[in-house]
Amino acid sequence: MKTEYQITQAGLGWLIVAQLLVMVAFLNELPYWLVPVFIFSAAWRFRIIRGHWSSPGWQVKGFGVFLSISGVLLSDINPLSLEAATILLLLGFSLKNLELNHRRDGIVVVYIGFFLVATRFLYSQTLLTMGYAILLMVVLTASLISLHQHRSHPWRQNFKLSTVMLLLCMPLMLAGYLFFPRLPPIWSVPLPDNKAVSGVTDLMSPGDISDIARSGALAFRATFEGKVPDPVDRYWRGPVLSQFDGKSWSPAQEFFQKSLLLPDRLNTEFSALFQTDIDTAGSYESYRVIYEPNYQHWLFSLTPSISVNADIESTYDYQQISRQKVTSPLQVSFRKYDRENLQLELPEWIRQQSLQVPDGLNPMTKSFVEQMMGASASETEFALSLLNWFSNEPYFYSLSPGQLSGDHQIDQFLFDTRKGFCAHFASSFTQMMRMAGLPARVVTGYQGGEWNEAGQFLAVHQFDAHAWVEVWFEGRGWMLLDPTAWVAPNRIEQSSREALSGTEGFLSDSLLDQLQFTLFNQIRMKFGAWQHQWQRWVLNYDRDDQFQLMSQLFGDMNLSRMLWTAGGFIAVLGFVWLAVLGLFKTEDPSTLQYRQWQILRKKLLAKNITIDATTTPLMLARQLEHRSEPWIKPVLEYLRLLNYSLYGSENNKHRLIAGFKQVKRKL
Amino acid sequence: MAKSDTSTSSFDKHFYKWVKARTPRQKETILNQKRIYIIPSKAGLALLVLFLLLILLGINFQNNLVYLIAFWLLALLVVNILYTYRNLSGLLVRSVHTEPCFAGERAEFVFEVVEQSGRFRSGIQLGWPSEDQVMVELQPHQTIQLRLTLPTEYRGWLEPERMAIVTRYPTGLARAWSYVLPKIRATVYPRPVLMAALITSHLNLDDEEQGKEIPMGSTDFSGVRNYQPGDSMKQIHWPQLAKTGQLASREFVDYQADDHWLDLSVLTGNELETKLSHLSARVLDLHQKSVPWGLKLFTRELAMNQGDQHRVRSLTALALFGLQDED
Repeated sequence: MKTEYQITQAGLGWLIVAQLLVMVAFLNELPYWLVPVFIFSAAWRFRIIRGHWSSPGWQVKGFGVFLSISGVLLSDINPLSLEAATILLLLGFSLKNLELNHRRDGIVVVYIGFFLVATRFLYSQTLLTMGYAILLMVVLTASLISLHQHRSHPWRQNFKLSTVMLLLCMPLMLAGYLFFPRLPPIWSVPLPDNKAVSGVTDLMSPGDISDIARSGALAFRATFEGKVPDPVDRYWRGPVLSQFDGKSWSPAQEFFQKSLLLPDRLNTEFSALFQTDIDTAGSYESYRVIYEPNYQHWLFSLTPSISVNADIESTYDYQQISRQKVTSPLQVSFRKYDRENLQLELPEWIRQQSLQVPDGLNPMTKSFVEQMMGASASETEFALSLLNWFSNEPYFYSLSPGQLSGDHQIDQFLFDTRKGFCAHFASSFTQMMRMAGLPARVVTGYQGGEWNEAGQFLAVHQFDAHAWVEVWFEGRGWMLLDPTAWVAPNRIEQSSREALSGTEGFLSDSLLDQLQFTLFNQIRMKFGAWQHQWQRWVLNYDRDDQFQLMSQLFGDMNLSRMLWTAGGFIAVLGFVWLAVLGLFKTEDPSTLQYRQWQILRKKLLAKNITIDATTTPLMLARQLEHRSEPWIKPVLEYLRLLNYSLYGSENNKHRLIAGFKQVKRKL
Repeated sequence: MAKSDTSTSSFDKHFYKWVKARTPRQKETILNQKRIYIIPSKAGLALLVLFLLLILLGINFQNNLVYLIAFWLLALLVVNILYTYRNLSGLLVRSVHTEPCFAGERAEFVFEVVEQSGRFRSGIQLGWPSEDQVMVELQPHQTIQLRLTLPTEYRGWLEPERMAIVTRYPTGLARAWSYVLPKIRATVYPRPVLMAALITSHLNLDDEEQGKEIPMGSTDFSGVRNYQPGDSMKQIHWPQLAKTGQLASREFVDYQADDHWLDLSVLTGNELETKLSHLSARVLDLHQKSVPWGLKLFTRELAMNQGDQHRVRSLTALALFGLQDED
């Protein structure tokens, strides 16, 4: 027999709440034109629930589908991307409102909802997202439950049932999560488009104003096994820029895309790019970084570092490159070596690269450099005198220095505006070094970081983005020189938040400038610590961790032994879990009554009153009625309650327990 | 819905044979693990597909949290099986009572469903697939009465076939069901149909037993009298008119019996069931007219009597005539 089950009012209510909550989860990630579609279909459904409207005809539905598909096509989203798929799912999810008549429609909605909850994690994986996802799971499961009821139940009841069921799922879920083999991707997939706010890019144009420093978003967190580096040593190296066209700095080699995907790149023309001269025999300090997604290949590290992870490459200019773009929090372990004597022998092609100056630009700077060079005894003295010059002359650190226009932007900055941020100083200093014949390059990345005492990690934010200079000196190798430090020493010695809180334009549109409030700051720190643990243990749980966990649990491992123990573990866990399930059932009133009855029997036996097995509470009451001991009254009262609860319709556990307490006190 | 016995697939055949062995006819049946069957529903299988999709998603995007959701759903599928099982387990189904009916009508069966484990139960469908089914919900320690009907075709006993008790509570991911073969039977009286042919023969044979005459009837010729206006043309005594030229009317009488013997053996015709149907109708007729009747069914005889109880006894005797199980 084929039955079309109708959905109850409560079921429709649950579905609409679940849909709205799921859609809210995606508000920030997807185009805003989805919002009116949601509202329209939800409103229509609401009118149907209220009995004002009926389900729309096929014309309306068809029109809705037509508009949605046009929306996807018009909004400039790759139709084969994850985003397009998510949008289509969301659309189907909300338009299903228009034809939500039978149980099966409801089930479809709930299943799409489950899928969307998982999809949400492809966009972000913070603790907050997880918390919201848990809420969504509870609401979706409650909706599923309400779909299978033939009359409306109070929402609390369904909410509770759904929560308890999902909690009971935990052991099994964890077992699956921990022991399911982590496989490599089966086919390559398009990733969500880059929406991350990044303070660092591989194109630096000091002439254009930047609002980089205003973002308080996290860039990465670092933990150190040894000593935590001093604030002045916290230079996190990112893209190295050697190419200057008068306006913008860019990397010398566009090699990432070309070379990273080659399986045997070490044997190709690119091989030189992936060779470092770091002396790995020397002593090192270990540290670990968890990067927030930046949708780029480059990572940020202390110089010079080498990664332990296989998927991370070190380059000739000490950059760390991830072979996959960082699209979800990524954890990498590094070893930091001694910074002395980097590349004492400078290969000719790197020297050429590091001396490049655009022709015919910035004549004033050029003559100034020649003049300074003539007055200096050595290269190092020349560099030092330039830095001193920055510090003594009226140069100002500002995050909104105004745009530079024209061809001779360095001249303009050095001798006219004299106002700028790190990029201006790094750019002009590098050019001046090169004009003097010293190999130099701009290094971008982050400087500083905020120590989180609660979580024992260093949090580096986007507003810590920085640019500095590396200069190569004969006999000393690459040296780090930071002209910004000479102009605004606070910027380096304190964290940029403290140093710049008075600077115009810094974080002025962010909540973060109120973070001086200590209590709030503590909460923020604590939450940051949780996030860090979350990323460390949940998001980055991978094959290595899995293997490590197994070997910690069961000692030396080979594959078959691992499988056996995993199977055994799951079986034991399942058994324990079943036992818990059995014990977990709600207090059974009949057993409660039985227990009380047994206790009462014993107590009365002590008073020489025997109750045989066939006596009912009412019979006992009749038997005791005419006695006059002081304890008779509460006992009779309790027996009445017991009788009601056993044989009547009234079944009030609390009154029964209260009555029994009275009895015990008197007896 | 449960498939009926007529299913032809060999799996079904074996399954129902197996079920039959485990489902004795009982007055009271407690649903326990011996008789509760449980499998994932279509929705459950769909969730399994969703799980696989999510695992693929998790693998391809290397996303641990997607795995987490996937395994959560898989665990839900398993946990739900226990919930669904617990929704049926421990329920008591008791057959209470039936109402007799005439063949062709629906026989009514009264059942009690007793919740005795102190659990709330919801979404339980009870009844015969393709016939009467009801959805019930039980509070802890609640007993509810259900009236379910089955169609009848023949007189005799009607023993209900296997009842199915089905639940998908709470999430619909699994379907648990149980069979109950209730030890109860309804009496189905012969369908009351008067047969004209049988009436005549019956009257001719039973002439001497006809009792008090009722004048102005239409059955038997009793004499001739003078024509009165209003007499019908059929009543006119034509020979008298020809002889005397006087209009005369024939007079007929009906017989009001003080008591009536309904005897199966004197009825003509070959069809036993038709004769029983006729007698069934006669019983109803006589009962309605408050006329006493007796019933002779060869060896079995019900003495002359009247009233409700006598009616029930007579109809029951008719219903069970020739069946082995007569009481």
